[in-house]
Amino acid sequence: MAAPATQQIKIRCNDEKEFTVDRDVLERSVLIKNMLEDVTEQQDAPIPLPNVSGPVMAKVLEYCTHHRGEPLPSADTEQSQDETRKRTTDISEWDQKFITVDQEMLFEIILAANYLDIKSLLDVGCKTVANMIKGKTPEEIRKLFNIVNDFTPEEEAQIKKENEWAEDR
Amino acid sequence: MPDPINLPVELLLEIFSTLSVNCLLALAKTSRQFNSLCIPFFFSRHGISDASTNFEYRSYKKAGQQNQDIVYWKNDALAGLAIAFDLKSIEEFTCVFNDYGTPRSAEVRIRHYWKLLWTIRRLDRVGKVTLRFNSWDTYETWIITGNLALQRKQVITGLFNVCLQKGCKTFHIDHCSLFPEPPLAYPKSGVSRVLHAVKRILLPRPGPDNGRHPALSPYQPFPNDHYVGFIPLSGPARKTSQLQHLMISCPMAIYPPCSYWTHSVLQTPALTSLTLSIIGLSPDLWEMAFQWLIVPLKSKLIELSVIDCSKLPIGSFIDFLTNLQAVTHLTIILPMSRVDQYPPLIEEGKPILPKLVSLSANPDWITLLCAATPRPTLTSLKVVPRGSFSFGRPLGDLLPTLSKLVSPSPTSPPSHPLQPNSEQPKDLGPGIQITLDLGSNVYTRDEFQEDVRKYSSPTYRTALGPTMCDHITHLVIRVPAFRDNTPDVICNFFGWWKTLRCITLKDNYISEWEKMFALVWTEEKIEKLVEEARVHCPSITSMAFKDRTYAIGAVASGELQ
Repeated sequence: MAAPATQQIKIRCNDEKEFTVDRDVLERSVLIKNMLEDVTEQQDAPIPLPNVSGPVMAKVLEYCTHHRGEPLPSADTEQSQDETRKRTTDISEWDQKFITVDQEMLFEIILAANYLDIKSLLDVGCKTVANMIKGKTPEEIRKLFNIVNDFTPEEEAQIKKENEWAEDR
Repeated sequence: MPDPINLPVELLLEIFSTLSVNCLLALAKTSRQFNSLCIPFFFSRHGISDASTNFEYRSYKKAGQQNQDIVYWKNDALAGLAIAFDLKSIEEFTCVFNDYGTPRSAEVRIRHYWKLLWTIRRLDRVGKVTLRFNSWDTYETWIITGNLALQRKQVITGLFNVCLQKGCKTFHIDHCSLFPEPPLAYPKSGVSRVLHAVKRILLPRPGPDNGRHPALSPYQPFPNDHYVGFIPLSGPARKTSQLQHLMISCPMAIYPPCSYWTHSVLQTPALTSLTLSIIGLSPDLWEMAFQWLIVPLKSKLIELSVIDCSKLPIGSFIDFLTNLQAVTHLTIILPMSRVDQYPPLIEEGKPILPKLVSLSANPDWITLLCAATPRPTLTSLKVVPRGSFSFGRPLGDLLPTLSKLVSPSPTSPPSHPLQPNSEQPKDLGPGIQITLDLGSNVYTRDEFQEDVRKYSSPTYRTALGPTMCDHITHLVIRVPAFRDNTPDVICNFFGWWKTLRCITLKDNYISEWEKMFALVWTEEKIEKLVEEARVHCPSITSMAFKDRTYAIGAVASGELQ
């Protein structure tokens, strides 16, 4: 069974920043949970996390601490959760406040959540991005995310045409 | 700084899975990468899994929208296809438009056709194109839509030419004519008079400048060139066209101007087969149909469907049939009241329908076409009630008719270049498929039972002697689902079919079929029918009801899914 909740784990980020965290908080991350299960003995060396920086990790840990103790989504329910997730872009109030960060941080959090395998945080991130796209014109989306328009003139003309057909109805 | 563009693809896909079609479409317009990632998602939202092999588009209404005129189309599947830049070719392209025939909807539709035209122009290749317009064109809707009809014709013409340029091999267009053009050079025709009247009503009005697509303003004067033809194949498109099969429903396209169309079809080098569907013509239009369509195109005309040929002049009747030399598939319906007036079909040098493979007609026509002429090639016969599917006593008409058929050779399989026989199970081997259409709503219960009693009696059966029934391997029955005694009736006929191997039951054009079927065809009744078949018709190996197939007899027993 799981180790006592008071167990403290050290992690080290790519900018050498270290955190000491309760084990159950860290186990929100399936990646770290699996790592911890692999090593049986208590280790003093911090777990290296080369893909995550300190500030981002602090944010991720804030999320994990708030959600500690909640049941992890199991593999069985993944399918049905996929279904519900597609239908709704609702984000809980706390999560919404938590994710109100600048865009750079948002994408860092998504990348970290993906790397650390924290499904619920990844969801929150993806939904937030989806909400940012909602209702925007292509031009606004380009500005928002620094997307370079690389269509050929022919394709551009076709898009223009498509916009014409779509207007006012 | 990580831009979304630098996120791993799986994360982008994760994000897209929560987006609405509007967002997907907007995102697809931002850059090439997002375009290629978003479009498959967009299509899958519209139920299209592999757009390059089969793209089916249906115009649809916004959910809960009251106004039938306005069809929601802003973010439909076509909007995605228009900018799906990774998609270069489509094997089968089907478009179904629901047309309500009012000026408002006609205008919206025409914009939609333009969209379709531009979309196909963007592609490199398109294989088979099917355009279906779920509308019945009438004088009334035409008068309402006036110039829109002309515009519609122009855009459809353009659409056809673009399809040809894209290597289209099969083009199927349905109910598209909506009065092709004002035939001003034919002032004697009634249509021309109507057109003049319409022109007077419509033309003096100034076109409202509503800032929309300039070509689509509803009150545009008729262009000078009236005779652009129904679907003229323009020069270059025609010469290089790979078009092999053309299927066309043309209720009103048979005007002298359509000689241009006829000419074009004849000039299309690769064309091998032509399917025509004619729905109701007046006597003078029948004359024109002969002159401009059937006679010039007779070598390529392989399928003809005439629904309501009640106005076909009796004097032209034999002429009409002798011109159908190449026709292999014929659907022909004649109202009951006129059948006695037709002369007997005696061939004098000119064979009548020598290549007939599939015939769908009422008992009168079957008798007329098959009783005196051996039909060794006929392998698919569909018996429909007289007139349309709501007149006569279909069962009563049917059996004496079958007895008049001369036995064909059961070796030739049905063939159609475009529509392989989908109702025929593949493993039945050679034989005849017969479809009995038991009508829908005019056949009363008393008539039904009387006919059943009469024709299922062994005396009657013996009296008929050897018939075409001896070669039938597949029986398809279109049942009137409301008849609670239908399953019992079918039992009565098992003794009839000595070579029958498969029975398929189908609905009879009833929209609430599912519900009705469940009421009439209860489990017990189906089991009883299967049991009866097992006992009385040992040659039967399978029966199909809707989506279930039962294996019968020596091959297997029990239910197959």
